[in-house]
Amino acid sequence: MSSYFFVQSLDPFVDRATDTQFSLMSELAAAGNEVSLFLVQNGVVSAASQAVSPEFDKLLDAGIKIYADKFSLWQREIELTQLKKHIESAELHVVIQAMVNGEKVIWN
Amino acid sequence: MKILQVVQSAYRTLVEEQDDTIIWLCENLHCAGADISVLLTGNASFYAVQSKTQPGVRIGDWVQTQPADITRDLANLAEFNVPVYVIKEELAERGLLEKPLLPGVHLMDRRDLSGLYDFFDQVWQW
Amino acid sequence: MNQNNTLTFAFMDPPFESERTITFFRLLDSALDMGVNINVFAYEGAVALGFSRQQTHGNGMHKRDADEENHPLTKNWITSLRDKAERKKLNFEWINCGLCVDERGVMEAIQACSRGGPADFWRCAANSVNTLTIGTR
Repeated sequence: MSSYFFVQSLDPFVDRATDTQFSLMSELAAAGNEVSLFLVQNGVVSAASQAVSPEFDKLLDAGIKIYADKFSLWQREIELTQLKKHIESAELHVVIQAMVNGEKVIWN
Repeated sequence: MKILQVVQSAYRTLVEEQDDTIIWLCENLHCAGADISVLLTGNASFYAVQSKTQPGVRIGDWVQTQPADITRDLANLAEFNVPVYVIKEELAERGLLEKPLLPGVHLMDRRDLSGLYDFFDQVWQW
Repeated sequence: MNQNNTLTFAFMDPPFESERTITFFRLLDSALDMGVNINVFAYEGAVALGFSRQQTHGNGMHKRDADEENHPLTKNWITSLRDKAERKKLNFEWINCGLCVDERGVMEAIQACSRGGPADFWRCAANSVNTLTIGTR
């Protein structure tokens, strides 16, 4: 089993491949891998509680650790209180730490 | 260290290096000693069934004489024994499933993708 | 922290066209904050990030001259990261893809950038604990 760390910069509203990427994360987690997701840039749009993103929402209860970049949230004026459950705001240091830990870090 | 190269962006092939720059990079990385495999995904799936050289462009009086030849580049990877994969469902949704695959390209089911990712130490998504 | 604390990044976007540029530089800055050595392979449009002829300008709509506007230039960000790495005694190697430089005519790069190719990228990746590729779209 492996540790995967996805950095998701694209959003499902513009980029259809984003949903495919979310499905892959679900499948990797279901197969017993440790999966983390770091939302950045427009990737954070899915994190807002009012955002309609069914494939993303499946990740919330899939045992996947989900972070949203503080700076990207700040740019879009998405308050921490507006985030969906199980999402933690974080700095980019989390991505660097995952790289240093030797996780499979994948940018989309 | 085994690395999966995921090629997603496609068809910038006539201006940047007159090839697919990531396929080109993959050939170079292999020649430099990297242990790589290639996954064609998104619209790069088209590459798996490409049979002709890309059409050259004419811009004003300028005529392209060396357009990209993706078929040749994938043949090079096959000759280097670099495995190349394409996802059956991605070909099907683009209406490409009936077309013959280029030699050396392996067809896989989407459900096997997590197993493929697991096989590699690093995944470089382009 | 892992004994081998060198990371390699490959980046493809030109200086001013994408939000990815900002995130990429923020990542490099974070890596230095964490005491990590950095290799960068600038591919395609990213070779212009270190083009020495980038210039700031004023902006009439903002009613600011060049000094007041203080427009960001990626060449300055690279220099700033290189200086930060030096202060922290960390390695900072920036390699521009030579062929990509030639076709764009951006040969005049700042001192912090060197010229290389895919074999240099592989050398960096093979000697790093991890590599992150940020493709263009």
